[in-house]
Amino acid sequence: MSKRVLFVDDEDWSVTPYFETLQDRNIEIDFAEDSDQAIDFLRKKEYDLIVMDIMFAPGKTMGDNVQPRRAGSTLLSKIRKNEIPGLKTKTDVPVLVLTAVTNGLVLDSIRDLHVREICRKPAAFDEVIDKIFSVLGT
Amino acid sequence: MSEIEKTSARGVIEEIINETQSYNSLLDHFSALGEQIASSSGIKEILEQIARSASEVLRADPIVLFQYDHDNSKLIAPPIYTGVLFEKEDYEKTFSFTGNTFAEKIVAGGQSLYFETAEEIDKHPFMTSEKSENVAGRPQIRFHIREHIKSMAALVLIARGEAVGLMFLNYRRHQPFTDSVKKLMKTFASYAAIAIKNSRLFQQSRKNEAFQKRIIDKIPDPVFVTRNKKVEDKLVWRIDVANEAAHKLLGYDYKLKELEEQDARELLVVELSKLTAAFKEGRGEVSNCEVAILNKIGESLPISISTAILERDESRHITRTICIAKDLTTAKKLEKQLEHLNQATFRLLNAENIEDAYDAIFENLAQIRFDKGMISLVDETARTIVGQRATGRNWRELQNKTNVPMASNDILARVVKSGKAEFVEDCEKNPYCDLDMVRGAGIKSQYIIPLITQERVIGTLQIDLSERQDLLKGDKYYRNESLKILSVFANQVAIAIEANRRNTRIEKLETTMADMGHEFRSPLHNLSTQLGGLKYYLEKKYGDDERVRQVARIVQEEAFRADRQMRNALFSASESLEQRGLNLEEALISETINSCAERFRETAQKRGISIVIYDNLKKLPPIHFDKTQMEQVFTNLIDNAIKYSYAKESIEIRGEDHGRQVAISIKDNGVGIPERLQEKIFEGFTRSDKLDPTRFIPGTGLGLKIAKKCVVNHKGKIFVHSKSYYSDPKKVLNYEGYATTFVVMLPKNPKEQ
Repeated sequence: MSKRVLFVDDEDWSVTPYFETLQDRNIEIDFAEDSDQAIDFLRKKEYDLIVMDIMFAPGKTMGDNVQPRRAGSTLLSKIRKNEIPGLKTKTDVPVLVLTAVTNGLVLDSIRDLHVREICRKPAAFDEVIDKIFSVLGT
Repeated sequence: MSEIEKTSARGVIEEIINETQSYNSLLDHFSALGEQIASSSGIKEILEQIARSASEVLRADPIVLFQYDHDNSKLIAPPIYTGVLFEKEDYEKTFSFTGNTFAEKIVAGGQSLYFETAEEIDKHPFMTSEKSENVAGRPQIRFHIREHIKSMAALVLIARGEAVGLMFLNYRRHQPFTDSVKKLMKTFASYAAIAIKNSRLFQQSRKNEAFQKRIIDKIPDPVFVTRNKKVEDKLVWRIDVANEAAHKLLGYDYKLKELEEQDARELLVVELSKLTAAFKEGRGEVSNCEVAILNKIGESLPISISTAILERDESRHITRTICIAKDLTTAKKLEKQLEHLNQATFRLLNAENIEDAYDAIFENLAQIRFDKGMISLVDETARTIVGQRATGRNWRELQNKTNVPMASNDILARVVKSGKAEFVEDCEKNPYCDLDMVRGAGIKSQYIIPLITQERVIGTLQIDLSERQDLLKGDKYYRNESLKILSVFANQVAIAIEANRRNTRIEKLETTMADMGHEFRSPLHNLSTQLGGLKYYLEKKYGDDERVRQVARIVQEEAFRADRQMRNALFSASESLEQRGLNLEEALISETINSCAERFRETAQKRGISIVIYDNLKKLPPIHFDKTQMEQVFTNLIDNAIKYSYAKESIEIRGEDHGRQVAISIKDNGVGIPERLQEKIFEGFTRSDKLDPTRFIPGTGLGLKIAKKCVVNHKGKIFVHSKSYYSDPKKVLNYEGYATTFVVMLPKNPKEQ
């Protein structure tokens, strides 16, 4: 069975280069540019890994008053706490954070949500690919 | 005492004559007598008593007894007479001795004289003429001739080596002065002298007491004079004199002298060990000893007392003490206010935001009963109120004025302009008070203090004093001190507000910088990622190609380099803003160092430099560190090592386990660092880039400063061992390289340091 990875990032071109490499290894890729789209995908399919940024559009489903810089941690926190109804993806889905954010507080808040690793942008292309493979066990 | 009272002087003397003539008992009786007589009457009575005794005991008639003022060497007129006088001597008030009379010469000679016959008197060298010239300024026949005196004894009364009187014992019959008679007379004379002396001393001390009393009443501080007596080994300590201030302090009636005879120890409520110890040791002196004293209604008042000894008895026991008190009530009140305000300061400086700061200010003002007030902040031109916050009824409705220009003659404007506080006792009468405002808020009296930081008035603190009668009508000293304390508080308020404003600005700046970093890093990441994708695409289409791989690597590392520089710049800009917290994680430091080194592979290879990571680094146990910060440290150190290394050298990274800490060393062979720069390189903007003229070494001079900052954050140390070709003139520019080793010492867990 092929593995599924969901990318969440506000700029698609910052992650699209990975897609071809991964698809060639028989990994199914979806891309969401905000929380709303991400939740749609998570309801439709069960993912083996989420590669997400921290800053993106919070989307409508997250409710008001979510700052873009907290969008990633808010989304993940809701997934972990099972606060989003109808998810096919498990609440303990592995997560790789790929972000240019360096603010310690923001990083702490997402680190506390049991993410596998926080990869700092700019990240070397191969490094990210290797990390994805290692989480998926391929 | 009552026993002695019954004993008359005559009785004493008779007893002596009749019984043993013991000088010792005579002394005891006589001195006791002297003291007794003196305590009940004046010196005159004593002299009369002595004269009477003499006439009875020594059977002389008449007796003339002069007092002698030893200090001024003068006989004091008029004398005391006993017995029969044929002719009254005409002494008048204006009488004075000439210094040349018979009597004066005898006293000056200091020897008692005995004349058995009138001829002996006449022939005596002290007797200069038959006439006495010194009686009321007119000549008079000599006393002994006038009164038909046959025998005469002139006794000089000497006590403790000092003449106190002269007694003429006259006899109209012949009186032989045998040795035993002379002896008796001498004895009598000496005790009479002691009696006079004692009585004089006593009289003097009484005089002094009256003098002391007068002085004490003039002292504005409360003063107590205490009489101390030992009764059955217990020190009884009664108030003898207390001045008006002392009565006032304790609420007693001065006219009734209510404090006198009070037990001083009962008035004092605190542990008196310090005082009593001082008295027992015979020092009896304390200064500024803080005690509490009870007033008439039993309230205890804080005072500080200083004592001094006024009098001691023969056995050196302190018998009278003067005690000057200082009322500390006001001082204590002020102290309490200060304490509150100190707490306030603490809260103020720790306030998270301006609203918290305002809350802290008003709460603490309320604690010292200033419960209505307003803070107005002005803009830089000091002409516009940019914000107001008030507390207390009627005041709050007035707050929240924003961007309101101040009337130039308003009292707030005046305070802002002058930078000086204004005390307004009656707002209605003050031409500068905004009457609508003060009436609206019900302010009758107010105090307006400028808020000043860095010599700039940022606003005012306005405090309603209308309900503070204690300040308006009470003790002026208390009011001034209270207002002074408020001014100090205002300074702290100003600092807190300014700090808060600055913090807000800093937070904004920090956020801006973090966002800026994000905005830089994202495109860098996109560049390297796009290139990674391109490389993958090219390799897939055309197969493995070394050139493609190399371009990809270079672009990748350039992206890292740009990221690194930007991180340093941002870090350096923000480092002064705040001490960064550490995100400690337990991990292998070798992995972090390795991934840092990986990012330089390409750059190093270009110059033929190899990065060698030794096994002892890989064997280091996991330690607690902040990954981001340590990445920065080793990225900067490796970057430096490569930049300053000569080509084709190797960079060696080693690790050592030192128990509680680990040491990581990075060694290169390159230009080296001259000793004079070895301290400076950690201070920022110090570079050794001119040491190698053959190439341009890029950099900002911030790397090591940031590395040091991060290491210090971990409670670690960083230092360098190096030699420069400067110290070896023979080897200038031979490119052999000098070892430079940077050592980073890190505690295994900074929290346990």
